[in-house]
Amino acid sequence: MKENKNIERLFQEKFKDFEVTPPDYMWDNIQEKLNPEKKKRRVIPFWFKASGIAASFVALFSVLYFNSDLSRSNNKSSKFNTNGLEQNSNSVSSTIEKENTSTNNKEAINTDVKTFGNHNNNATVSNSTSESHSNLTSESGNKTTTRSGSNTTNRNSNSSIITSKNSITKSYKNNSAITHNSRKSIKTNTKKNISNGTTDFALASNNKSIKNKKVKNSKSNSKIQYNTNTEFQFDSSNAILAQNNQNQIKTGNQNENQKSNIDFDINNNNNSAIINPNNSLISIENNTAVTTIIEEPKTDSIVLATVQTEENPLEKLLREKESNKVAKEKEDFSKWAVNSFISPVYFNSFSEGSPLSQEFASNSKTYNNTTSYGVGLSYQLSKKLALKTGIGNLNLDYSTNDVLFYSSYEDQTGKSDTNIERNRNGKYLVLQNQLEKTVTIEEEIIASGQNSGSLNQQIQYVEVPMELSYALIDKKFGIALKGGMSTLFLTKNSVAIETDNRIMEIGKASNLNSVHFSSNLGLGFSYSFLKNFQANVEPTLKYQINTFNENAGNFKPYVIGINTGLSYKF
Amino acid sequence: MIEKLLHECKKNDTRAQEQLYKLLAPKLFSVCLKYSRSHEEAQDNFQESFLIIFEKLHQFKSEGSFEGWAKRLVINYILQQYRKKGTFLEIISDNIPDVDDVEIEDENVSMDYLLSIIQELPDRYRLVFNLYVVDGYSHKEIANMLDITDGTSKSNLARAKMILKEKIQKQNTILSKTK
Repeated sequence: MKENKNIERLFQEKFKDFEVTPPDYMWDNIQEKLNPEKKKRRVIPFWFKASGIAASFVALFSVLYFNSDLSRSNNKSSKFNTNGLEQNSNSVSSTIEKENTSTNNKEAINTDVKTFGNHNNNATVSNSTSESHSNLTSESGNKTTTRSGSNTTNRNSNSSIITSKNSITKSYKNNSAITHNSRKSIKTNTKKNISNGTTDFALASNNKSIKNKKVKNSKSNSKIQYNTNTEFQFDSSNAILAQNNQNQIKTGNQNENQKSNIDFDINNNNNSAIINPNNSLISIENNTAVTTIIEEPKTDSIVLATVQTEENPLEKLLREKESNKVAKEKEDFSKWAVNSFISPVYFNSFSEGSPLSQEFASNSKTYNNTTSYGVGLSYQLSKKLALKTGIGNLNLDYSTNDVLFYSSYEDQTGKSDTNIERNRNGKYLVLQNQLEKTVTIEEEIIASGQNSGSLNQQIQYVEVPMELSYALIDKKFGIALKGGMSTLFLTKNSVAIETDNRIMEIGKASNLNSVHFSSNLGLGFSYSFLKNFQANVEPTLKYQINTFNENAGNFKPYVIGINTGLSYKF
Repeated sequence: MIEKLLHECKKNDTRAQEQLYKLLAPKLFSVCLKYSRSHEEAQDNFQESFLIIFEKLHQFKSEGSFEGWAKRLVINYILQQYRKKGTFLEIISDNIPDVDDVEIEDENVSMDYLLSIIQELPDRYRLVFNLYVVDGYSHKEIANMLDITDGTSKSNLARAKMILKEKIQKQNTILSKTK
């Protein structure tokens, strides 16, 4: 119906009830700006939690790592020189045993206890180096003992002696923790001694003696001497770590009942003798020997000990570990094979259909061939039968042709029945099948804004195959039948509009399963050369089983890959 | 009901804010679409002006309609933006052409198309046309708002109508050719 219309009236009528719902994310943006504090407040505890969890994981793994490494290397010696001991050895063992439970290294600590139990002895104990790890942990345990000691000031004594000498090449963190701990414990000791005012806190050393400021400042009888090759810095543990330090702190306590002088037999020469020659392998080394003594004045005991333990450089341990591994693998000679492969991927569908929308079921599809690559591992179950697994990537890429698209002012989310989860670019795009399009006048009006192109879908997977291979011919040239399945983990999912000159990503497919399976069938041709090498060509058909969770539009994709590569038997 | 909602919004109640947003968003977003050059610009304007609405909520006196007040805030914000950008071209046109009726097939003009040709108008034309035709401001009010004279407002409106008419007619001829 033609009618003359005043242009003003036309617009007035048309825009009278003009309402457009803005995109959903608009509200998110506004809300975020309205209440920035609320968001922030929510974020901070989350970070704390996350960092806490992360830290505990790091701690756990490093503990496991050190444990496993250190327990492997033997023949490390550690020496305990105990001098002038008169003490309540029971309390020592009790505290040490406390640590025991936390360190999982009973043996090592038990020897410690024994040593402590010896009075006026120079004891040399050989231990596995795992002990040094126990020292590492016992340092932290030391803190607790210190605390418990101060809690029981009025009771009988609580004495603990912990000395450690750590050489750590890689983990500065651990080192700093150790030094930190020892620092703390020394501080506490000092304080306690000050408050008691009856004990001497002595750190004897080889000719060099530095008085601890803290002790000096307080008007106590404490006397502290350090025996160090380099400076022992209380305040910067990092500086200590950066250097090759040998710090020895010997602390001794004297009280009225026990006035006998304490001998410190350990000097620098002694130290260097004790140091394991393996140290020369280490480029960065940190040796810290710390002795702390916690003693209560009411006991008539004096505790004095230096303990030195040795730790092997981690590099050496790793090397040993690796050589062990290699040796172990050599025992299973030629059972295992590793291979790498690269493969062109031919992607197609058994039936017509479109996983993106029913509307495009009849549209022609162009399957773009991609490349897949990965590594594999196979284990020979018997002479003929092998179990194969591996990891690789798989890219699927195809285009739905003859798609008409244009921009609307309305959000198309939920309006169209496509399986596309649209992004910001795609929200306002109307997608139509160009071939089935019924021409309406209104559409012609906006025809100026219409474009024709193709809808490109890209899917990327990480594929983990599990296949059995049966050798039909097992000679220099071999043929094998392969069958099995793959688990595919979705890693990329995108849908884009593609015209001759541009590509615009408009979203992702909403009906893809994040994990799906494929059943695989293939042939393997191999050619052996040199002693352990094999060239392989393996054409494989992989039928995708549950790629889509719904509405796949009768789309039954399959993939043909020709894995080409080399394998190495060992 | 709206009073209660506003009251809760003033107390920074997130749920009330969302409710108010949902109530107003379609109306105000359409305003932004009309007054802006593009969909993207409309989104920016919409977001910023909505923040201003929440910010100035306490200034609203419960006399007029809240929707009208909010809409005025949005329009003012957009005008302010154009003023800031200095995109107003001073177009002096003495001869004001009289725009006749446009011959169109009413049913076939899509909102999409009308909106697109409005957005394509030069900034000043678009604002004047919207203010006068769609939102019913007088030339005098428009002159005040845009800091121009009544005459300029009238001339801008006429120009805008001419451009729109040409576009609709051009579209009509394309249509009749394809028929």
